[in-house]
Amino acid sequence: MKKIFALCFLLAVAVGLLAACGNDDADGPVTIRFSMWDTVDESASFIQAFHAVQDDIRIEIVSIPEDYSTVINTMVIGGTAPDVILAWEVDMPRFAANGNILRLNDRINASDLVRMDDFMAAVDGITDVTGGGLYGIPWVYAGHFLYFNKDMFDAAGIPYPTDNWTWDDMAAAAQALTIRDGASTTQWGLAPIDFGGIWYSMIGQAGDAVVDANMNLSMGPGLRRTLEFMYRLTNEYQVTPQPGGGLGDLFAAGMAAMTRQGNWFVPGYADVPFRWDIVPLPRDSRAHTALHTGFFTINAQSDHPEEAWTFIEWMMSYNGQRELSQFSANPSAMMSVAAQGYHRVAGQHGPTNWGAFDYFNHYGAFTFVLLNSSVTGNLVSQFDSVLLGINSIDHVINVEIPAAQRELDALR
Amino acid sequence: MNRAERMKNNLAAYGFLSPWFIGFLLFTGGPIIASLVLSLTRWNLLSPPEFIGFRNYITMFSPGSGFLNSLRATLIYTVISVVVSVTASLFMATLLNFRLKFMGFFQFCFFIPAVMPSVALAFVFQLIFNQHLGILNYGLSVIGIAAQPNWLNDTFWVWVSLGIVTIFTYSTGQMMLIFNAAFKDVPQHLYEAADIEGANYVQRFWHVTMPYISPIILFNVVVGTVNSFNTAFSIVFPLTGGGPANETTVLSLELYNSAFRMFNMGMASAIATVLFIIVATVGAIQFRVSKKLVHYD
Repeated sequence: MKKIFALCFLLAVAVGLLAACGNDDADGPVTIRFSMWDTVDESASFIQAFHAVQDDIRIEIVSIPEDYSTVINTMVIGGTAPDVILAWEVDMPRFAANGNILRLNDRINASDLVRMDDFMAAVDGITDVTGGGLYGIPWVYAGHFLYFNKDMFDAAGIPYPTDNWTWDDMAAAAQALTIRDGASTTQWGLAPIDFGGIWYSMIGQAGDAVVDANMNLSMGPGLRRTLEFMYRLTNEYQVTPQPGGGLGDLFAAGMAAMTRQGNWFVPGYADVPFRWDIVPLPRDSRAHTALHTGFFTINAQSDHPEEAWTFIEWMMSYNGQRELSQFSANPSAMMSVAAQGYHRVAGQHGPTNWGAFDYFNHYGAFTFVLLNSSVTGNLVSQFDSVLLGINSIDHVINVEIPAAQRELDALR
Repeated sequence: MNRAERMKNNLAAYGFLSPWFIGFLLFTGGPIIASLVLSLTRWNLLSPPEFIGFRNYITMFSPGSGFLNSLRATLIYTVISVVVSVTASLFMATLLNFRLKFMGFFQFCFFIPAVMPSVALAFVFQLIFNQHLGILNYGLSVIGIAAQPNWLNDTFWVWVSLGIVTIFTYSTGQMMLIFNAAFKDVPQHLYEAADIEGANYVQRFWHVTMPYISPIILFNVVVGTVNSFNTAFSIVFPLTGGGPANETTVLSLELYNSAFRMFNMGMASAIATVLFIIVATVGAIQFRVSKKLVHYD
């Protein structure tokens, strides 16, 4: 009997200790969990800056380097989502509609630090997609650039791209920059589209809305023109390789003179051994780039919503936005902060044309990022299939686009 | 043994069986039934499921659905995977039965790729197969082949690529060990009799070894088939993502996309149900057909 009592006592002590470990110390700082894509930890400069001004709250980063949206959705369903979720554009309305995240209107109205009237115009439309409620605030934003290798342009004796380049200018330069050795190509004028978002920027440049006001696909003549143009570059002029996907970056490897990527590649190219720069994506019938962002949201299941808001509020303050811009090399969606250029994180050999960022605010729009990423990702695979000679342009427009629309309809 | 003792014995037997039985009910039987029920609902994971009858199945088999394409891709992958796995493992096991020095070292070398996680394996091969930066096409250029395949983005070569990767999977390594053990069980006197009859190496292999190990071949084919249906995802998803143009979107990938990218758990459950029926049917057919080909004596 004594043994049984002793065992029960030990169990009670163990349970008590475990329970104590699970709770925040009433006298110590509150720890809140914050999720981000990419590989980030608490040593990140913006977290350190927050800790420096706030003793009562500690931030624990939940880093999700791959399949961010899928993992966050799974965590929300399983009740294990962090206190502050950096939610994708397409996820925020779902979470809001299902009561997974808190409405922020009252907190924003009461805040002296968050100024909604300072946000860029493109943001207005997407923060208000949830029936008049504000459930998230954009952390920073991003768009797409044309990156070019100055050394290759100089060697070919071709003038550098300008902010007003057209598709035809890009095609002509790509032809002049492509170098062949017999049947093989030793230098490509233009790298293939590795990031699917570039397709949607191009389709927008060719005149299509990409997504209409009702969140339906809106692609037709612009899509056809884009596919025809890319097919010519790939298979007729042969100045850009067929889509190969995967792990290689021909521009960084010094095998392609130009590439089109998101602005988040600026720090990625910091150490390349050649001189390079950026310009806005070349235009067709209009200038356009697809924009990206993520939203600070508060998990409705959080035990610490006030502390979560304190963190978000500081991140959306001038100082917080400065830290985030410097950390991510993305411009703040708040105009007053973006104007200060904290996102200009230059590498050893480039870039210098920081004015290219201004083009995001004038010609950028949130388009494909508002739709389910599986649907838009699958369409990119279909666009690639035209360049690979697997499908025709008519097939993509008449079969794949309606099929994608049906998938979107089924989600509603 | 009286009735009470029999009862006691039976209870003891059921007691020993119960851990597996409870595990089966909780982790296999229960989820299978839950999946069947969910296949009749519309459920986005966040809001409560809504009963919609057989609408998911009707959508699945309607024109324009990706299901039939996925079924085709799954069958192609399964045939390639099983044929390559069984053939490669049989070949390697045969090599391991030569009487040579350092055979343990060769066995280690043959098996070591099989213990690599399949996702890591797929990423390594993604780099190897890269059209412009990959070592495979570099090797082809060195030997003067100018028309190098776009391995992972051509509707023909992508299947060849998947077949090559299959050689290095755990399934193949496991089969190799099983075949190797089976070879050692073939009675030596049968080979001696074949030698007396003047049989050459190929004849010995075909008329002595193969009939004797045919039950093992059947076992590997059935296990390989079931594995192929269920584990295609871990190779195909990181290597091709289902491309090019959905050419390699196997059912398990379609299921994943429906569940965790489209958040359509009802449709994902319907796909899982059909996959379950297909695997069970294929397994049953293999056993039925094998009665004529497998020798148990």
